[in-house]
Amino acid sequence: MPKIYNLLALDIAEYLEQYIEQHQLKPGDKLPSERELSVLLNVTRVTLRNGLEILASQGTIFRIHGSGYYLCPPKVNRELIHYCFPYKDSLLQKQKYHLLPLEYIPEPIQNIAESVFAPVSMDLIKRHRFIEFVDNTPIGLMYTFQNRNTENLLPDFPNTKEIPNSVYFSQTIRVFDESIAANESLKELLKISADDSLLLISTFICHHNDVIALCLSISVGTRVNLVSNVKLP
Amino acid sequence: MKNEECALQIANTIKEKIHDKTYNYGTPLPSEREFAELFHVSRNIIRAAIEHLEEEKLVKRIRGKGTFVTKTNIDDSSIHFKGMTELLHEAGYTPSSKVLKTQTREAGYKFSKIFHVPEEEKIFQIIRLRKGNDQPISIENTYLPFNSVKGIESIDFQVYSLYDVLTINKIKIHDIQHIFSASKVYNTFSKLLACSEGNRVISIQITSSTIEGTIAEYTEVMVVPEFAKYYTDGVIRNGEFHLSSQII
Repeated sequence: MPKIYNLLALDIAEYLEQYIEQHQLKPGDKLPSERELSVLLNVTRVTLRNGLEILASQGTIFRIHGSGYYLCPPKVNRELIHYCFPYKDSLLQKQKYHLLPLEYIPEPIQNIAESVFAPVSMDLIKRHRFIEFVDNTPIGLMYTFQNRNTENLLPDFPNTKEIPNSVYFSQTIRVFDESIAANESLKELLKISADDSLLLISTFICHHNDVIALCLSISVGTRVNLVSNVKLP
Repeated sequence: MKNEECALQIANTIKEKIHDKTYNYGTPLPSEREFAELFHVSRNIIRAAIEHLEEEKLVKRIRGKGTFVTKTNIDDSSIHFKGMTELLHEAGYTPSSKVLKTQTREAGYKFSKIFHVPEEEKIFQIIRLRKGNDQPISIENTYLPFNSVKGIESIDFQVYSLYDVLTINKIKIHDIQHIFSASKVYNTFSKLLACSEGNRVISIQITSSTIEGTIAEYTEVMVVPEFAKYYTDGVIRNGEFHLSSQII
């Protein structure tokens, strides 16, 4: 007989999402209590909690200890291909997006940039640091680096008006190191809790085989959906 | 006749039978023992013959299940992307996939919206655990319209990839949308992925549609951080994103 896996949490999460939509709950609205929900779904509270955990970890709901579960604002959709050019992002432009200059830079970000541009000294690298908001909620940090010698190839980065066809981007998405994500300044800046998860999005902007510019971004994975559309030939 | 020549000749005979559909796509070949009796040779020779067919990717051997015909008669030269399996192979992993659950169910509220069908429409769900060298890589929770694939309930998804199944049913994927995000895994999921409770994972929602805009499949994936690159890395040229691999 095939082994049976307990995958009930997925069904609970699906039901809860349906409950939220059908009851037209708004961001900040409270969900019924665990006791009420477990009666409604006819499951134990342990099983129910497994479903609630899924929704909390994907940024649909958040919990306030001793109070209950509340609905999060909808996730912000942004185009993956325009990650380092936010003003060119048609999804982001539909939302109340703004960015502010920032001082803070996590050490690993600095280290990655230094190693990418080595042996070129960081003095020759033009740098920008931003914190990004949608509806005044922080959604990420963005750090850009560009070798000053290449400004003619990609002028005014990251505010480049027209991205020249001679450059291409190599992009990676990783789970941002948890020990660094637990850093107090980062938590405070991004207003994140233990349920939130951070992603590191690295975009290497290349011309021929050289990296001419780099964008390292920390995205709050629980608040942002990175959308990419691929057409098959 | 030398054993090697004999194996080659038997391989050719089986090959002809695959081409004339005596042994059809999706069905297992007779066992080594049955072949040995049929050709009056030793099982070693049969094994060598099947190895030839495997090299030509006409058949696929699945331990404990038998040898399956995998050659399709549909020209798939249009597939220009690398499969995940191929990508993992190149990186030195032996990929495998374990089916955790399959079921036929009603679309319900969530999937009626995704597939643009009435809530009572039947959909088919497959939950798979993908591994490389026995290391867990991801959990893939896939849904497809029940009626799009003939005999879907009897397909062995341990043998056939989703892509094989869609191809044989003449479903051609034209657009794929990926939504990347983050989440955490607990309980059954963290155990299956061999990570600790509350471990962070990359989550991906994949929606594949045909040129007519019909949703062919929808998959939710949870990828362990160590294997993120196989799912996320890509190159952007002239405003178009090219993923290093495709998941289906």
